[in-house]
Amino acid sequence: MASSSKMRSGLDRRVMPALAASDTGTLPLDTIYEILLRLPAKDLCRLRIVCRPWQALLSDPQFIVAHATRHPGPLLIAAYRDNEKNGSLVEIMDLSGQSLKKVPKKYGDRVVSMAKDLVHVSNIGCFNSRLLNPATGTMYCFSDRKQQGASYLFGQTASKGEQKVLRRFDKIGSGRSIHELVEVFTLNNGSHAMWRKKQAPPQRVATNKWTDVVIDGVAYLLSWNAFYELAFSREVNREDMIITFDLETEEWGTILGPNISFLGNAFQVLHGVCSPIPRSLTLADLNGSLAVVCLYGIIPRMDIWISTDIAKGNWVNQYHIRFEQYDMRISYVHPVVVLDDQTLVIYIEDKELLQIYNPRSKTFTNVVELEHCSSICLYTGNLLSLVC
Amino acid sequence: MASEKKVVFLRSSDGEAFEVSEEVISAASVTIKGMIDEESPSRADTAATTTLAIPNVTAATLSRVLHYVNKHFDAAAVVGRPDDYIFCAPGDEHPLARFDDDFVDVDNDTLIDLVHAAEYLHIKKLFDLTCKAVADKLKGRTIDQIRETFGIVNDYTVEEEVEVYRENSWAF
Repeated sequence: MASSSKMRSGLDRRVMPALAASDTGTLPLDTIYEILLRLPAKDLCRLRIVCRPWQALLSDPQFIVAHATRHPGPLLIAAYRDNEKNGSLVEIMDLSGQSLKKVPKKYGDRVVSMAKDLVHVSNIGCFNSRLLNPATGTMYCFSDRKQQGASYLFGQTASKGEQKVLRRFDKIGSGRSIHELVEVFTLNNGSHAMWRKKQAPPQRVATNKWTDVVIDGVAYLLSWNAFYELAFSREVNREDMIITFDLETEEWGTILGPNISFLGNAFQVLHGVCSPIPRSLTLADLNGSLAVVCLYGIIPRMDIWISTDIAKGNWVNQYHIRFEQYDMRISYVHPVVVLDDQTLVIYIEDKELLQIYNPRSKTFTNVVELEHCSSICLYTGNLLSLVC
Repeated sequence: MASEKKVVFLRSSDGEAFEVSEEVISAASVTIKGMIDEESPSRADTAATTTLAIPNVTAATLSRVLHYVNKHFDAAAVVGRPDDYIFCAPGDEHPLARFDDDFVDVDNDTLIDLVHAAEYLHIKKLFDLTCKAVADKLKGRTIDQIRETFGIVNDYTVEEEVEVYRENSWAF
């Protein structure tokens, strides 16, 4: 409730002159404020068209902050693959699966990666890539002559908040040796901004879309060895499992991963053919903590290890989930966010399905099916602070 | 006995007086508690009952507000009449959730009068409840219906309205 002084002062300010015989039907703007605070962002954007005072109120920064405080429920952003039927590039939704905003796709657009409130979009038709803020429509552009098979990461430096993009690609040198090339681009650096060459990482890093993440100005990348040796070994080497790149200092480092080992065979005989039992190792940002996600087994199981102390290499196996309902047909599950009640939002990539897992009852609840979804993450932007 | 329940009378804008327990209304309404505290030195320990004028609230609304207040703030009523709970389904998060739902299931004008009254009397729980109810009503309505509900005149020019629509078209 607004402070009483604020409410009193607003008593005479009517949305319109009180022409009616009684007061019925008209409310002071301060009361309207209280009512509108209780509506979701999407409804409020629609209500901007009611009249000028409402538009002013609903675009007021103070209102926007108050609204965000009252509606802390997480929003998700999903990217979609190129598809005739689905014209959306990305879609912002809430946890009821309700779509709050769709950004239409322009011809040739492709989402490279997403994080926080930005989407990295490239277009086959031009040499510029862009970091798009889907709420406000504003974007950073940067030159990006296509590097075959390049992988990208972006994030803000911890202290100055500079937006940087990290680009990695392999170059085959003489004697068929492979060099990993790394370049950094600092955005909002004026017209002089350009790609700067950096040292290669101390170890080769994996290039899967789920194997890198930026948290608090540091990029974490899963090592190539951990990602690929996992399929055949009983143990994953903790040393150098995760490679770090500090976006501020632009220096590489390594950290200890969790202690992951497997019992039983790495292979099974299926219809007379010996084939590996699916296993995958990926990284995630789970509510601001670095998480290592391991999916394995004939009946798929997922362990989520959360880093409790990055410097010391301490990890906790926070979640152990069995997907008995899916047998072998899932190869990747991405944890998106832990909710206040400790339930976990997960995206099952093979099924294009968003679910909520309850660790106490060990049950799964479907949120929404995301046909043609290519990637999903937590969205931290504010939908009201936008015009686009 | 010293513990005998004191009552106050509230007089609505149209002159009707309602009796309510002083303890209950003081717990509910910041505004009335303030009025009672101002009155009390002159009342001392006399037996005379106090009548407070509530000039902004009509009898119809005031009687609804007091119905709510007696349900929510009279601890004796809640403890002493367990049969109320019979109407609560096991899944109800709050024993009075159903009462609240029914309480705000009224027409627009009545609801807006309740918002006014809750705000004037400074009854936070009731203000929250009624604001939420108005908000829920807004969800399913067209822009014209909303203007009508609040007696708002559309003050945009056609061009401005088109522009605001364009900027927020994704939400329609």
